[in-house]
Amino acid sequence: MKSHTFASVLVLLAIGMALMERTPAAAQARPARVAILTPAQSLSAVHEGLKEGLARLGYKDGKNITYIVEDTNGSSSNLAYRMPKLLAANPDVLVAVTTVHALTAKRATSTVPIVFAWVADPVPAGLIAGYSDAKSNLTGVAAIGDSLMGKRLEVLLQIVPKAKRLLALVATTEGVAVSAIRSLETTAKKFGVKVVRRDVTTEDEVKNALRETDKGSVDAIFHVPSTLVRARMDLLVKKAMEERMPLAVHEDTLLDWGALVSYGPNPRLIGMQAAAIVDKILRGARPGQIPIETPDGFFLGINLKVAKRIGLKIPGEILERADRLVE
Amino acid sequence: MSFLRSKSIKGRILKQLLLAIGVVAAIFISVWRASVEPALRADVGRRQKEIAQRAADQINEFIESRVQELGAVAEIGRFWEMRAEDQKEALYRVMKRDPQVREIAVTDATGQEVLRLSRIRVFTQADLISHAQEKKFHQAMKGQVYIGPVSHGSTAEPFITLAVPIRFTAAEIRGVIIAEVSLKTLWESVSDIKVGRAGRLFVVDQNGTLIAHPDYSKVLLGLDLSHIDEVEEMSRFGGDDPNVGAVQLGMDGEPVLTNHAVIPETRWGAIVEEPVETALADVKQVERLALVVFVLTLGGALAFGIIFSLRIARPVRQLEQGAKLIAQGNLEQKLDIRTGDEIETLAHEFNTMAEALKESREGLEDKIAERTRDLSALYAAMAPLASASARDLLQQVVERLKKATHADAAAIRIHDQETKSFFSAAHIGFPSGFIETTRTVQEGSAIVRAFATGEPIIIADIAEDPRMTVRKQLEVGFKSCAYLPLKVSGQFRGIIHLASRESGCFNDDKTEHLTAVARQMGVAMENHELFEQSQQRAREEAALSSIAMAAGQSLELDKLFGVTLDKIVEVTWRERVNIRLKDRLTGEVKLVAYQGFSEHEIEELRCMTPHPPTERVFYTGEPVVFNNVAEGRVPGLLHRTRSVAWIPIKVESKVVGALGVSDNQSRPFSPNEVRLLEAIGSILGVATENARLFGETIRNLERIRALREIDMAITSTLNLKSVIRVLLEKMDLFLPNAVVTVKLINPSTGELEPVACRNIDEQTWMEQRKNLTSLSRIALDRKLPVTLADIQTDPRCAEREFAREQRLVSYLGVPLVAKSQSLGVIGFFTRQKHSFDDEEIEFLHTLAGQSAVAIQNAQLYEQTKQQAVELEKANKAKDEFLSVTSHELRTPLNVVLGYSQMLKEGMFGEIVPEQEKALETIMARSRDQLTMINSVLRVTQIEAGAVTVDREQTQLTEFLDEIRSGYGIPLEKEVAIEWQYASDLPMIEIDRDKLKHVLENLINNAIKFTERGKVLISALHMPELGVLKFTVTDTGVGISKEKIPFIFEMFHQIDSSVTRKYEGMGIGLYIAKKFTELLGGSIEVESEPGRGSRFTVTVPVLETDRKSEHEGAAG
Repeated sequence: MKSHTFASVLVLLAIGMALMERTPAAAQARPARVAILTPAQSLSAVHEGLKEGLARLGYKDGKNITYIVEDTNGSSSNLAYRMPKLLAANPDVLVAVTTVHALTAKRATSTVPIVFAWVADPVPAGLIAGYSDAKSNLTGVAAIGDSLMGKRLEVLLQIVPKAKRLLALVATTEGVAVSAIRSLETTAKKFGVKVVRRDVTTEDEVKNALRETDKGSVDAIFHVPSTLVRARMDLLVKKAMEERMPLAVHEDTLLDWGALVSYGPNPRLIGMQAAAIVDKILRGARPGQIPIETPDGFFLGINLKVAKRIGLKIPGEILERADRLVE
Repeated sequence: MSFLRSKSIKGRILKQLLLAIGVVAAIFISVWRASVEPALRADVGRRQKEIAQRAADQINEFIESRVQELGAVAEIGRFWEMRAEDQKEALYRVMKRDPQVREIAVTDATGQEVLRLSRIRVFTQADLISHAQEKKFHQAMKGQVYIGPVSHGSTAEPFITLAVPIRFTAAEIRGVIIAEVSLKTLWESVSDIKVGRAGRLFVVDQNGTLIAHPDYSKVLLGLDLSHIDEVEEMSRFGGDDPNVGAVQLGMDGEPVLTNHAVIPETRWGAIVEEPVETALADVKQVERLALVVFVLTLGGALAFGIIFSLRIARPVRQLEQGAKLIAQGNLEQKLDIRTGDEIETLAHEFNTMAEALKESREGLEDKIAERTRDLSALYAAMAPLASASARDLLQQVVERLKKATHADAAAIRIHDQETKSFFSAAHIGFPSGFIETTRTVQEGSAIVRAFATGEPIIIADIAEDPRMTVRKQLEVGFKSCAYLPLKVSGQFRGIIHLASRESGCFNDDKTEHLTAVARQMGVAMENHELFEQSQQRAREEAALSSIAMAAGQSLELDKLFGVTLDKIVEVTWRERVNIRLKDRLTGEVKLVAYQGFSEHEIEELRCMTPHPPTERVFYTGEPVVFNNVAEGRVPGLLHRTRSVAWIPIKVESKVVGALGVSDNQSRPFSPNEVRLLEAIGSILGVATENARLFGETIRNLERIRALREIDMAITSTLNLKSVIRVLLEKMDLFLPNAVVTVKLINPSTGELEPVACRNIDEQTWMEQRKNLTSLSRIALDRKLPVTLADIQTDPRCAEREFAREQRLVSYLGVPLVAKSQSLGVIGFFTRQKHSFDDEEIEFLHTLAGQSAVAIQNAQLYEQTKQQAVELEKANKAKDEFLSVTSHELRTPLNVVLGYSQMLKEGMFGEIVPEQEKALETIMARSRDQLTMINSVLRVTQIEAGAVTVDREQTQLTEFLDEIRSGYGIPLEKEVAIEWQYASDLPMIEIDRDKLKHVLENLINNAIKFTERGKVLISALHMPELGVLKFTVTDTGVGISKEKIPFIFEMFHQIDSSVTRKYEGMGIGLYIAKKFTELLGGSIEVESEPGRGSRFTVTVPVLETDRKSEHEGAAG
């Protein structure tokens, strides 16, 4: 009888091995979980771009991907309290929009992969130690912030070469504006242009600064990025229209508000770029293996309607170079 | 696997089968290893080559297309014919068409840039540089295309530099176009190329440096891979790989299958590698499948082998079974095997043999049957005996014996050693009186011989047989007889006597039969004895268990002793039993229980003290047994006692009593009986000890409970009188009706004074107090309890007369001692003679100790209460004084200041400069004085708890600006004041006045104690921690480490010498600290003498929501 048992065991073993060979090891995959920490408001385009990018890569919301979005609605205070909710969802990837949000995310976890987007320069910001950190749990898309101020000025001057005095409203309480104006002033010096700087800290001060700028005292308005001034973009547009002078801005969405020229990265496309990185991580790559990217492109936009209203003729070569024309 | 060792037919067949399978498997594996696997590896190598080549082509095409694009711009003659603006636009077009081109520059024939465009940076004429010394310029000027190495800029993005010549004519080159091209998208698509399950594709440059890899961090490290096998092969053989399918070490040092392709434009190599494990996963899969097939085949073959061997082995086994049956005598069984072969023939032979054996056996059986019948009758006769029934059944057996042996009379005669006679246990058929008359037999008679030799003696004819020396049986008509020795438990115990009235009824032919009869009888009697013994054991066990149960169920000794005595009498059949126990304290042995004695005997027993046999038991710890006592020969025994045993009652090895068992007859105590009594003795010992321990535990519990009650009662109050009252009340529980007195030492006089008493008229006691102090003094001096058995006569008692009057006899004095301090004495007087035992003294001593602590606490509480009242009065007076004084001082000072100001402003007429200077001094000093008075007032408020916190919305930056503005005036010494705080500090809710006071105080102190250098004030908002941190750092005199812990105390300055140099009352930091604490914060200081100090104030903030500063460019 023992021999019978032995033979039966052998046969069962063989069948078992054959079956194991046929059974795939991977179980049914659960939907990927992507947590997003974003200030939204004007930067909603970034995470919308992210979702669009992921949709193009085959991720269907609610089917094979779930988004957990923490919208801080423009606030940068008490961000750390937002993190437990996001991390409790046990996300596969955490996407953080802007430097402040990315820093908060970094402090909250060293294990969950973090993809940042719309961050000026991650090394000085303290997000990463260097670009070749294989152990880091962070990667993402770095927008090039201050350097573009000069390029934007160059474009403006190509459109209105006679412009010699530019009005710049600087929200001194915002670090972004302070470093941007520094960059602008450096380039302006190169081109021999005077920046008429007006420091503002409240919306009233924005109004006053515009009111107190006499007609003809400046040749163009150069928008220095800040939350405060952007909130009253309508006043800048109004002033530019009234005095028939150009308004240069940093993102093409503002063209629709009445700005003349824009040059810079596109938030939606930055989001799509981040989507490609998220996809790599969802497919098993570690953040340290993925290089930090710069924007794939910078976009030159011209509002021809505005040009017409202020009686400006846009040079042909600029029109040829433009990526977007509002007609 | 037992079949492998088996020599059976089945085992042999299976072994052969396994061997055959093994050989086939070995051949299969050899062929597999030698030809199939290498072919599969080579196939993997070819697949890898295709992948590598595809990547190489992709890279080549990318670079080629960029070179062509630049070449198109620099088309012969055309570029230099354009206007500068058109040149620029042409280059902008290139950048617009191809997002990978990040920067383009154009140089003239000297290498000087004439134009440079970037997507990010701005280049003016001043920014243009010369490339005259660079390789890219020289190579392009020679008419060749330059493709630079891969590099990374400030970001991680990879790019290469391309340079193409700009020809003016076919022979003349007038400049160079240099372009920076991003490889990001190229590397992304190369990294996406899949190589098997776990393989990878990476790119190295001509030096073997890694330039593209799916794990980009490796590229950024600039790994040198020139040492790995595949890169070496690439540099030696170019695009050919001589070792396709060979296992090599990969870039991470693990064994891989690898291949490569070379990119012609750049001489870079695209290398594909895959770990051997996964690359050959398919091969392994096939191998595993082969193994599965092999195992299945093996299993099938084994199953076949087993079935085949079973078909062979089964008829053989049937033959074997048949042979066994024949050997056992079963000749009826026929073998039915129809295999049609040699085995069937063999089975037929077996059947024939069995038939022959059956015939020869049948003759023998008839003879055996007759004997068997006799034996069966005999065994039937013995059946009742075998069941070990009672003794009277012997009679029935004798009857059956007579019938079974066809005798006319039968008897069982037991040998009596003492009388050397054979008495009858049972008999039948003998005339009455015959057995008794033949009880005593002569030496040498047949019955004696049979008994002595143990051999049966069969007498066929009593009249003739010479062995019969006595022939009394003839007289009663018996002609033949048999004497069969009866052996019980290995000893001959008697004889079975059979007699017949026919001669020759018993003869030698029946010897065996009769011997069997005797043996059977022996067994029956043995069983009977064993039965009797087991009955006795059971009774003993039952008795022991009843006694043990009684001992376990109750701690009442009387009940236990009653049960024990009953059971001893029941089991031993002894007449008298008694128990004596030794008193633990006196050592006296007392009779505690007895049974079977008359009253008179009990009296006699009680008088027998000491009792010599019992003393011996106590001394030796062993039983003392007398089995046969002549009257009066052993002292301590009743005169009628003939056998007696005294058994020790022991607890472990200690004898605590004795158990006496006696009888009027001389009935020896068997060892078993003594052992039983010893076991009972042990149970009684344990039970006695348990009862004693239980009694002791109960007594202790009662004491502890009482002690606790007293403890709770006297510690629940701090009132001295209540403590003593409770003490006396509870004491009554212990020594009912005893006179208890408490005397305490008066701390001021040191005299013992009576405080309270009980059970004696208080007035009488008070009047006589001095007299009885002599006793208290003894206890007080010794600090130990003191007892006097009779104070009416004891010379140590000076108040014997009083004692006699009050009928006080025995005395116990216990000192009240707490923390080594004698507080007084508690005295206990009994009205009858009482010997205070150790337990009582110890208990009352403990009680006194606890009472002493309570008394001391009560005394201390009284003192503290008194002091607190005085202290409160003093404090109130101080506060009132300070408040009134401060107000009174401030009023005239304000007047002084006001008039000085008016004088200075010339309201009372012109004043000369000296007068003005004097007025300024008056005003400055007055202001200082006012500040001081205000500080004192503030301290008074803080101390009185009258300071509240009023929070309000505060823009922190503005708040700091406001403080800063107060320090705008240059100082008279070389001290710079620096401020560090962000311009975007948040809006918070805080008590601005207090925070301002704290900060100004710290800043003023810093300025005051710094002669040269600077004072730095900084503010930092830490939203993650929810705090604001202010620091005031100076380069002043500093504070020594020893002083730091005290600087925040009131009226403290660094030291007296400094106090002289730096004015102040030393309450500024005290107020600062108190205010900071009111704000929920803390203040810390670090300092080094001679180098300066740093004060850090940390306060929590309630930040009011504000908008963040992200937006626009990256936040």
